[in-house]
Amino acid sequence: MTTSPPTQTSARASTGKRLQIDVWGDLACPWCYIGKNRLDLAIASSPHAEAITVKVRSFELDPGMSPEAKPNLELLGAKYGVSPAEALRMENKVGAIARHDGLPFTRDRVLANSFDVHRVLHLADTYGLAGQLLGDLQRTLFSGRANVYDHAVLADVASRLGILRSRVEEVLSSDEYADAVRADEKEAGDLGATGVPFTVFDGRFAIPGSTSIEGFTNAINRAWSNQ
Amino acid sequence: MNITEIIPAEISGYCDAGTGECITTETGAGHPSATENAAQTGDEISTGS
Repeated sequence: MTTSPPTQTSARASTGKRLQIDVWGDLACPWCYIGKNRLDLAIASSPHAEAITVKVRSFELDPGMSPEAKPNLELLGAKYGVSPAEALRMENKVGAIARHDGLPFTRDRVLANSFDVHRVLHLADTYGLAGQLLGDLQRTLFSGRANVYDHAVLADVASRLGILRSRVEEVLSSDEYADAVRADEKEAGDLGATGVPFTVFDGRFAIPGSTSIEGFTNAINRAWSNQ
Repeated sequence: MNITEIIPAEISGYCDAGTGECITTETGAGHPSATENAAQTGDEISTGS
């Protein structure tokens, strides 16, 4: 799934070089949300921005998750056996970082199986809109505005970007792109990814997790200069 | 794709595929409470699944 972020200047015209960045992540992952924003900012401020392509790759943190959406904090308590107060404190910490980065974030959001979301992201890629759709879904989910795992909401968000609603519904009523999701997940496993976000620059340099804007900038420059 | 190097970036956080736990390692201006920060030991867990 590929997208080109907003650009400032073009290095492509003068050098002919390109840089692909593959990012594995899951919608449910708050650090994928924070990391995507930071990576986008790093790319936007890079002199090579126009020559950089971001490929959105699928990764389910919990393939066994129920398709029925449940409150985030309820699942946190159920999975890790933490008290409601402790769960709140955990959420507050990552939430404070997200808000410091200018991202809407609420602990009052839902979680559900993300497989269908990943399939629609693959559809979005055929429109060149995977990154944009992922960003819109993340903001909608983490702001608590809507349950984006719900097929109708998912179709709403996708169609607002110009993706044919009928195609979204077609994908959601079939197993279209299921193989693509599984292929992404297999590749992540083959590469040794044990968590997300997992970002690979030029197919060679990896960052296993989210880092700062500066960290992403350094990785871009390193990959660019080593081509 | 052939990963030849893990870039030595300081990791702010990630979600673990095995457990579904989301680990926050970053501290700083975004943290809600300096007092609470000082009281913490180890990583913080959120949820991604």
